[in-house]
Amino acid sequence: MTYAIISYLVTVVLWIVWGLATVARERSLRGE
Amino acid sequence: MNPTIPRWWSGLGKALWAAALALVAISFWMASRAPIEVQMGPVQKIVYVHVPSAIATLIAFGVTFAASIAYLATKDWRWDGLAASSCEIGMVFATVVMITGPLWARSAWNTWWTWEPRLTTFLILWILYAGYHVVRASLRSESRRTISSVMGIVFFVNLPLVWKSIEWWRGSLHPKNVTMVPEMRVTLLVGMAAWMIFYAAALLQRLRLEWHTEARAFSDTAAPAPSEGRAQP
Repeated sequence: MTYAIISYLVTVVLWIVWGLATVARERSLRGE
Repeated sequence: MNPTIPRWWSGLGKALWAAALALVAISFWMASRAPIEVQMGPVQKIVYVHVPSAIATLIAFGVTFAASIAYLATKDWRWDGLAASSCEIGMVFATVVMITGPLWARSAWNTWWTWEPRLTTFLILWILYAGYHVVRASLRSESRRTISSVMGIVFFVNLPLVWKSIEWWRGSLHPKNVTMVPEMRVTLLVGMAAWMIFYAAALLQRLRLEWHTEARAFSDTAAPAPSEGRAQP
């Protein structure tokens, strides 16, 4: 069960990191 | 022409994000409620995020392949932007697969990693497309788009190998056929739908960077040079 929970958590964390990085890059390009 | 993001883009993006996040939340909830597989136990629930992510990886790199061909045929920057954006999202999905796979294997096969056909071909896939981003990021010349497109086409050769690896080579630990009870099958299908819509939402979001990058390049070339129109000392 632990490995299953870790898998789901890793998936969520990876996508949050990607999302934050993408928003930050867009703001940088827009000069904000 | 000054590249600008179409007005409908943001509206469609928000609608897709709302649908994707709602469906992902529903798929997680369904996964928690799905029957526990007899042989593997609760760890088998990884299938509901592992398999959809693997299929999304192949679709994302397939889009990169098609968009790369379209760029070489038309030289339209938007095709190159689509290829690079889809490739980046595919890399995140592939990384999810590369992390959840060993976690599942440790419990199911009693090993973190084994050089069986599907794992080996998928690792090669991950390395190739990581190389795509490294090479693309290192190039600043006009040839960047052309070289990226060539990589997007050439690296696609590995995708059928990943897909067919369990049929073409012996020693695969991945099952060729999987039978599931209806509740499990429905949960997996909802997971696939959720992550496909998530891919579409992420692709629209990532494409915004390409629009902004192109708009900045356009404004840099359109703006007069600092010394232009002034008397030289």
